[in-house]
Amino acid sequence: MTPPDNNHESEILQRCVAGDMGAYESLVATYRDRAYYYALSMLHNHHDALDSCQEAFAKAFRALDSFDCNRRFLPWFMRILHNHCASVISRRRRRFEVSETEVPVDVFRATPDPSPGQGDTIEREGRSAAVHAALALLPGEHRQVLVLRHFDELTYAEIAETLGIPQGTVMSRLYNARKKLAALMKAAG
Amino acid sequence: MRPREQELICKAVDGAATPRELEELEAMANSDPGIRQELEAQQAAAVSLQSVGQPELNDVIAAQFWNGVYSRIECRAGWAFVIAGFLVVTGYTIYLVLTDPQLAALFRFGFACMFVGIALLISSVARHRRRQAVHDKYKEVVR
Repeated sequence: MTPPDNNHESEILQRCVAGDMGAYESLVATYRDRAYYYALSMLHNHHDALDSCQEAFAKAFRALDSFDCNRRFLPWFMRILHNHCASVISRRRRRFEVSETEVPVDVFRATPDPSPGQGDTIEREGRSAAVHAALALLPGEHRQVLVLRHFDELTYAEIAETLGIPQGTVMSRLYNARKKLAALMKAAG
Repeated sequence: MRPREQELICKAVDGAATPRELEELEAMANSDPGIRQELEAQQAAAVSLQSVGQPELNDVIAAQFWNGVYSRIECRAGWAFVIAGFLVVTGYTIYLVLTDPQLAALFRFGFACMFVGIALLISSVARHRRRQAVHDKYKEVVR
């Protein structure tokens, strides 16, 4: 789902702050795919990722009173989600839990129909699968910056705020992540 | 690759470089073919990512997603009401019992003792839990 423009999002957020659950449902529908993919890239488990996303959306709703509706929702929400996923990982470590990597094959919708002139469906699906497989092989911190930059389209400042790291580190991680991704995709042919 | 070169390549790939930075990168790339190769490899990786785009959840999970969020919001609100109501009712009951002159003094004394006991037990458990959270390094091990 395409994110609303800033003015429209600001209006939706104001309705959410006023307690309009319908408005919040539409906001959740807009960002749930991004949230799930980011959580999955951190937790590698469908149930944990789904649970974390839903919990992060619930936390965000409760914290909306303190949110400036003129700011973008996504970077603020991604920070909540990132912190929640980080706490899940930390709890797993402390409890010596080994969470099985478990992602049902049909969790994502099939690749949308190609636009005219963009090659056939099989080729696109193959390319998409190769890129996502290469992404899955990257270290977590590299995968996170790539997802935030290329899928969520956050700026360097927003990524830095989400991950709680300096902008210089964001650029350095992005550089190294793309370098590794290019090498993995080259190796895979 | 030096940090400045990495930074310029990164900004150029993301379209965040100023014209001055692009000139600087171009000059570097002209003097070192390795930098140009790296720039092109990074641009190709970025194009690959943008062309595949964000995967979307399947229709079944997407349809049920909001229910999960809503039930969490509702459940938390429900607990808040229950706790607030319990505190108000308990406090008011204690006040009524302790200030009612028609009740026997012994009953009021027993009632007060019961609530002081409950308060002591709760504070004791809370203190124990807190001490455990601070000092027990095996607290998260499921026993």
